[in-house]
Amino acid sequence: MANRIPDLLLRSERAISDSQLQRAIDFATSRLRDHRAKIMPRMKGWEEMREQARELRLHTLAHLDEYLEALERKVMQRGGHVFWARDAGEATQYIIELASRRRVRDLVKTKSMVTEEIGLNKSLEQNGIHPVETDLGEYIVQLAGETPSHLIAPAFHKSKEQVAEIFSRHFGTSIPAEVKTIMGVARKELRGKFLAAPMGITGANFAVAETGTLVLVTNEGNGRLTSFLPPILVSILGMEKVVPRLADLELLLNLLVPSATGQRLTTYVSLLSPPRGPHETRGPQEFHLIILDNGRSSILGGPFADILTCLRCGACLNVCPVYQKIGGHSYGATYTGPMGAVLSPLLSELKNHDSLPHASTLCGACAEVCPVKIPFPDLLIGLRQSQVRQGKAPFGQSLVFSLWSWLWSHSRRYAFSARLARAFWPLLGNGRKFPVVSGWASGRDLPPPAPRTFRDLWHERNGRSRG
Amino acid sequence: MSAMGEAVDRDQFIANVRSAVEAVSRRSHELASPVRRRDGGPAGEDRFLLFRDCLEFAGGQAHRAAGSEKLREILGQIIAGRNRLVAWGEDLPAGTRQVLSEFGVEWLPPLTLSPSNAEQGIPPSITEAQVGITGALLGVAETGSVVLASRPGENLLIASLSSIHVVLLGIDQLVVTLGDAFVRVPAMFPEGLPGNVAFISGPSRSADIEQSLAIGAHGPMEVHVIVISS
Repeated sequence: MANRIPDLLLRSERAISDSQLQRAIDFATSRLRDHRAKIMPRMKGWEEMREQARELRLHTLAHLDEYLEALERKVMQRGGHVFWARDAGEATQYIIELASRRRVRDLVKTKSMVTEEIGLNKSLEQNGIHPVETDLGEYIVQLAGETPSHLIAPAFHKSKEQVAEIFSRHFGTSIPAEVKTIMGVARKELRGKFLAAPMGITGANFAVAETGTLVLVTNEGNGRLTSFLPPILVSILGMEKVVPRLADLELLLNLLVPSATGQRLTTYVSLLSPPRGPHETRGPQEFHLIILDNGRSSILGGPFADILTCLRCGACLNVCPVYQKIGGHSYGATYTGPMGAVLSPLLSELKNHDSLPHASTLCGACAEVCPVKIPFPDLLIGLRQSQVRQGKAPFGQSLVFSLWSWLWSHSRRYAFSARLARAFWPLLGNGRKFPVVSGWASGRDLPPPAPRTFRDLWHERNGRSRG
Repeated sequence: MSAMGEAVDRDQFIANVRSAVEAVSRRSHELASPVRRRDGGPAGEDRFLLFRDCLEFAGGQAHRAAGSEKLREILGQIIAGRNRLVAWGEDLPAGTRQVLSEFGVEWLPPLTLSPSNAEQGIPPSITEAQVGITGALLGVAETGSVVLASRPGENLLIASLSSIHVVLLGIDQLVVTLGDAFVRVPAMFPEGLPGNVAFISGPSRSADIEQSLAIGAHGPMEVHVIVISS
């Protein structure tokens, strides 16, 4: 399905006219920005850390093949299985076949963007396997039959009244619109699921090549239970999330968590090296690590490889003036906000999400908060350029820019255009009624052309002839 | 999903990645040493104060017990009125078992369950416990974390399922930074990391509904860390 500019505009207009959604976006993004601002005084040497993390991530990408093979060796040494999935289909197929072999019908799942990316839940359901999301926000989104609207706050677009309604409908009993009560209901319901599920599925924030260890960063504790109670554990790793050494986690966690939630550290950071050892009482007995490419290798080594250093903290969403108006769902993609505007079209090789690089004002706030210093404006401009080079720019846009460049690249034509603008100024509604770019012009005040041009003044002062 | 097919796919996967990264100069990004602070950071009581500040920031509570009498007093306050107490005996600071026994805790033995035992499920004493008491490998001052690892026994289950989790920690078990912990923990396990190592910083929480912070999502609603002088 194409995600062209008109599609994006239509969804955005709908989002902007939804006043409940506007309040929710304002509230959530400003809250998350405040939390981040509050933790910053505790984070000494932040700028230096960003630089170091950027270098570490770029180093890892430059040696990705080596680190992935090292990770594979370590996981297999401990008795885990490693499956290399080149695309979404291979990853979901592997899980479906595994679940069928083990006769798994119900399973528990942690919040994971990569499982959203590969459409895992839908594929499982189609094969008679029922995944239960155990992160509260994802659980709400799942019960509502929707998709997450923010990297780390997936259900922020729902009011507590809406959540209470969804829960009441699902449980067939009236549940009041109180956060504590709703959470208590989820806690009780999901604890039963954790204890009964034969299989748990997680994503991974990082995977340490040195030790074969997966890192899960969570607050609710659902990640602990999902990765610890069911006898079979399946973890899906976006291949760029590998980290060379255990000791590198300090730097990355110190950047990721304050950027994401404004906490010093999340409540739970789990270092998982499954399956369980011979002297351990609990933990999964069977472990499968799925390493996912799904378009990443085509980004790697190219001009947009920086986006693969992303830690998925969500800080760029919270500061983006576009995201703050249109919210997550308007992007029509798994990954949203500035990081999504770059990553989503690249993962689908510019086939599906052509519009997203245009969902940015290029103000650069995203690059300023990014904990690994991803140069978002450069990447967004680069993506727009590559669309133009591939002849994908909309006809109107190409026409305007060609005309503009033809007019202004020669002094006589430039002077002519200035005279033209002055002559037709009243017809242009004082700069608000431009043909082709009316949408852009209607919200802006174009300064009226000066009665006399700079050139006229210059010639008058220095005489008509040069010298 | 034949083994042969998988091997071919795997090699092709790696080859794709390799040809992509070989397009850039590998040497352009050297691997620097992990960044560690040079000084040791605050020591002794100052380190405890940093730990307390950071644990409180995370919504948990830190207590300081310089002797058995103080420990009795603090435990009494936390446990007051709650009678289903479970404790895991390993990794506790010396001299604390006696005090805990006075409170009538149920000791969960450090058993290795065979796989068939594990399938029998989780002892009701854990799922129904009001207070679960464990030791820890380490405490991390700058994040207010305690570090627990899977062992023979139910320590991690107690830490995940009790309503109130109480951790007893010797003051010499406090380190300053996360980096210190990432050096100390692997050194404790020369045979390799345990299957599950948990950094726990305060009570379980969620802000998923209207960004309002609610405590006790899936794990404990209260986390107390009592730091003891040995």
